[in-house]
Amino acid sequence: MKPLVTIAVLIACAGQPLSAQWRFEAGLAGAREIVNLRGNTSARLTGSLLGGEVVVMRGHLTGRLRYAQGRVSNDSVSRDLAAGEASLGYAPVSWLEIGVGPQARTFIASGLSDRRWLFWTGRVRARGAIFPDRLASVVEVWQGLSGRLNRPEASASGGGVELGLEARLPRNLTGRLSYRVEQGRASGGIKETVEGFTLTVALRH
Amino acid sequence: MRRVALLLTLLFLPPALAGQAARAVLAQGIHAYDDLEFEQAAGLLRRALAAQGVNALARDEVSNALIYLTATELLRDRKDSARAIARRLVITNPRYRPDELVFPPQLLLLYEVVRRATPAVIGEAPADTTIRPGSEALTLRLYASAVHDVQATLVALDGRVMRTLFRGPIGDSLALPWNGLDSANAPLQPGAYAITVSSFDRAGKVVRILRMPLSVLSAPADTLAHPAAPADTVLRPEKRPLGPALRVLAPGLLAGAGMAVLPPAVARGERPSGGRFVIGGTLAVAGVAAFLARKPGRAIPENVTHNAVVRAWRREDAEIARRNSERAKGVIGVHIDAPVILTPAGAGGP
Repeated sequence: MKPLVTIAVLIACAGQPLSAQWRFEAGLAGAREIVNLRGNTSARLTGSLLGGEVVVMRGHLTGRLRYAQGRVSNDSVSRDLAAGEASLGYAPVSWLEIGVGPQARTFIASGLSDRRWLFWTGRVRARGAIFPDRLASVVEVWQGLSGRLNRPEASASGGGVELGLEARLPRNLTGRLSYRVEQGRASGGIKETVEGFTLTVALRH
Repeated sequence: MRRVALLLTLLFLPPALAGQAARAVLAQGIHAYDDLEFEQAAGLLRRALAAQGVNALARDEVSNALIYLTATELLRDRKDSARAIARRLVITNPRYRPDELVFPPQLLLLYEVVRRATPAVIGEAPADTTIRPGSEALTLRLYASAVHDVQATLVALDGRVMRTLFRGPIGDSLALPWNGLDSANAPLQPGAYAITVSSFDRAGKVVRILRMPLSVLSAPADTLAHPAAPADTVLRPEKRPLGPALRVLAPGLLAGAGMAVLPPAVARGERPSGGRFVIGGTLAVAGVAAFLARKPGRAIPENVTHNAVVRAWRREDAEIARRNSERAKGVIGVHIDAPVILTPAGAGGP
């Protein structure tokens, strides 16, 4: 639970005044996820995750942290799932951001060692106003530049996309509803696809 | 003291009253003529004509006094004096004709003979006017005592002839236009000039000269005021533009289309959930709604009205600028003083 505590602290910090050049955004997210595992065996797990995100912007630079954890299961299998990413981005124009950073996803099963996917990613994020200052569309595409799977030990590749709509709410709040799909692939035919519907409420400062 | 007061009263007598006194003497002279008191009439009429300055008779009254004096002298059998007075009348007022119901036939005959034998003209022109040299003209009107030859010229004060306006016979009257140019068809420079009209006798000898001093001034253009400008003179778009509408349509439509295309491309070998189309459809519908809300291509009535006002103002402003420019192009002012009649030495005087 330590990561959730960290996010809560960051959200609390959002209320503190920052320098005029700094912009800050912190939010809580709830997601419904579907995990499809392919390898020696195939399984489809569903479950919910709870997490948060923190975004810090200054000028053209953006730092972004995301974390979520929860449990996915089916009739016979249950796994804890934790996912996180960090990225540093540059926005050449107001509606486009290009970034790099690590992304990890870990499955935790009792009696077994954790299974972790770790990628260094390149990301492109675009935001287009539909009703300016009220509603916008958000698209983010990432591609793994390098990746590792720890069990079985193997190099991995993968990519993902997130599409959604973002609405400005009263009291500096932002609501975002998005659909996310990402896939990691490793040698030996191991493939893991995660789909998620995420609702995020963030506070802007 | 009474004499002093009377003297002061006479000294400060208003000009109008003085003029009235000369008119009264004229009336007494005419009354004496009617009573056949020719001696007394001649004296009174000469007194009335002798009044000068503010006391002088008006032009018509002078003509009236002269014709009565001519008749008086004729009836006193002083024909030479009568002819001289009649000649004076012809020169000062060539258009004058004695009333056939008032004066005897011998007076009418004498006056007619003298008139025909005395070539003279008088000129009339507006005292102050402006013309555009070359395209507009100042008209001088000449009235003659009888048919004779005249020559009208525009001269500088040093005697140079700037332009010959007319040479030829004049009957009853003659309109003499001058277009503001000299004989080389160049605009006359501002300065002092004179229009002289020489009257010739049958022998071709100048017997009289009418001289009208004329000043050419560089006149300021009488410009028209420009109309008051509207508060905002910039034209506004009359129809809602398409560009901003497309800019809000694109994010919704592209994201909606991306929702259909991108997940299968990323999740190879898997079949992404159909639930994503709920979000994708929402994005597309929102984009279309935003596009329609912008009402591209629809007229903006307030801008149409505003532009009509601005266009009308621009047209009126341009028209006034054109007219002012036209007015300012080469306009000159012309001032003409009262004419002076000169009789060359040896030509015979009144």
